[in-house]
Amino acid sequence: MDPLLKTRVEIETLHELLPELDYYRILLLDPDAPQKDVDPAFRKVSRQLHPDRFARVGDAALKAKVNEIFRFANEAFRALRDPDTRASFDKERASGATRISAEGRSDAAQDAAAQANPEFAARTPLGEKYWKMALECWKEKDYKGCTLQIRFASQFEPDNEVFKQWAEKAKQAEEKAAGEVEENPYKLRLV
Amino acid sequence: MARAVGIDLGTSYSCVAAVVDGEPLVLADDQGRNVQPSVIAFGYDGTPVVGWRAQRQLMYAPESTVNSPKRLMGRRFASPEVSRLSLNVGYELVESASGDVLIRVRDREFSVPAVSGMVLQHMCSIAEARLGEKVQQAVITVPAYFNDRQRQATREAAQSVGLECLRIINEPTAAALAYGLGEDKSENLAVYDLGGGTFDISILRLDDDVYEVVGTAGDTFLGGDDFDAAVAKHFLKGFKRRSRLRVQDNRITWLRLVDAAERAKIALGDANEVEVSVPGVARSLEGKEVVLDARIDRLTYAQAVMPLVQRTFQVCDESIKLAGLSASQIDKVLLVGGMSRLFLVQEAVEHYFQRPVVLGHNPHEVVALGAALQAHNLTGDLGDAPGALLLDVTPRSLGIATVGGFVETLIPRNSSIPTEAAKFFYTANDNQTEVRVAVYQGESRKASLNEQLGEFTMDGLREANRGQVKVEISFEIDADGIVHVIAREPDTGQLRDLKIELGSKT
Repeated sequence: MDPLLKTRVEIETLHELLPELDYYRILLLDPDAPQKDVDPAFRKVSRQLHPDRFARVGDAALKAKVNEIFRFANEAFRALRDPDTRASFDKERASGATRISAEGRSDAAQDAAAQANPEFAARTPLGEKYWKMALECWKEKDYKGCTLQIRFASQFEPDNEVFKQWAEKAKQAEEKAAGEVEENPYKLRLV
Repeated sequence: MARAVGIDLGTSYSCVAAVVDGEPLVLADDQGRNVQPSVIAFGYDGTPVVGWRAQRQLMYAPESTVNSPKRLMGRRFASPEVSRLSLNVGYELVESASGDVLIRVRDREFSVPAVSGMVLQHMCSIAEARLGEKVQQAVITVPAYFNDRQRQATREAAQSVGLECLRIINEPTAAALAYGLGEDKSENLAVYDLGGGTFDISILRLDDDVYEVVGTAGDTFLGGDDFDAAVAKHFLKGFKRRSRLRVQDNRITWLRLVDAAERAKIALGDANEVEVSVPGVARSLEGKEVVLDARIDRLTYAQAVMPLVQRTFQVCDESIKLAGLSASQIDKVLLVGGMSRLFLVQEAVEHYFQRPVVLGHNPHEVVALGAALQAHNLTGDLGDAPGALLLDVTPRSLGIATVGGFVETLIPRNSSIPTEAAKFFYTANDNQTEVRVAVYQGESRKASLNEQLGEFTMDGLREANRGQVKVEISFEIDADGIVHVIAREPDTGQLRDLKIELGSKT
């Protein structure tokens, strides 16, 4: 059989199946696969389905289908490569979902942005005000102040995960700083 | 079929390459020069001349010679970068009706893409002369950290001269592609790309024939030009201290100083100390022209530019963190861009990564070679074995403005492309028939601190009580890193697809 015809049939079939596929099936990955298998699985799928592989094909409709398939593969990869998002997808999948809902994906994008830049974490104006002060305190190594400001900020956003993480971080930093002072047996003396 | 070429459209120099008989090859001009200055000189009648001939005009007629047009690509006139740059260039910049930058030369106004297009056309004519066939398609490289507007502008530049832009690829990725040709390996590669105007760092994972970008960061306003400016300032400071004369404050003086700084940079590659002499810097009390004479050695040069080198390492830290790696997990460091020839830069990068760096081929040409390979991959015959595969990422987060001037991120940066994200909007008022959406790219939480890509209105919604009408807007980033917006109103029975191109066409 003509190799192009074979690929065409494969793409058409895959595209038709797309609404039924979940993240694991598009990456040809076992749901119980260890985390380290996600990267190679994505690369393997990319080798076959990346739109660049079809750049020489003249058929625009086929290209559009490949694009759609690969965008879904990318979405799957982004969800599965992060163990936390993967865990939350696993829960949704148990109740029949094939992908994380648009709202869920939007939240995940927010979280990713907050991880990279903590300034993004606050979602209410008042929460933001205290959150900023907390980050200022952190910069100046005033961990006590930081803990206090986070507590204020949390009053407006009790469910904010990033706040909780940072509260924990500030608490540890505070303890560590306190420990360091006590353990230091040396004293500088001016002669 | 006509052949497709790869073009490195650089800030200071451009280079064109093509795959000939299965091997990537730099296409030189009729005098054997592999690179061409990205300079466009306009004659008295307004005819443009590009390349080496234009370079000569830069010194004596800076007001009608455009250098480094790439620095203006996709920038708004009101941006701080443009106001900074307008002080350092000899030509005049004006604002267009839509807020973009126009270049005013010889009483005519040109858009930035149109001027860049002239460079592309020049590169194509060189390629055509060498290949003996028509060139209509090209893969063009851009700094990895270019945003959507800058990428769009690059596409427009190609369109303006009738060149089909097959694909826009990132310079560090192209360099990696040229470097890793035909070798089987699995490793983490850092590409440190310090060019004439921009700095980029990309972390790639090479796995056989797949080049996956896992982290990328950069600074579109940090490059060799800034090094030259820093050293020119150093000369001026010394001169003022010694002579106590008022320096002539004009563009020609400044350009001469920058030129002297550039020559000193090149000369310091061989010598430990060099002398520079810039005429006509100031006038003495008797009104005579005074010549600036200065000596600079490697150490002083290093001190003058060290803050700039340090800035690149901050960006390196960021990209390595984004890739989820540490500096010790990088197996190889590839240096590209003209500035990587500087011994000082090589040494500093080796120190930062704690390992010897790879200089690869000629750092000026490696990007164009990679682009040529990708052009070949995208156009060769169907029967050919598939070449290397590039998996690239979007360098900046994409989001939309929400209440209070904040940004809601929809596609976080470092997401592999092509990709999409969808968002539902509900009407806020009764009988509301339109929704306004502003799209931003950048890492700040405040909308005003990010780059606005565009704003559009989805109108013609059916009239209903508030909250009853739902609009789904999906954002798509294609393989070129360019953003498309599609709006749908799923409830009206018929799906309405509305394709919106962001970025204004002037």
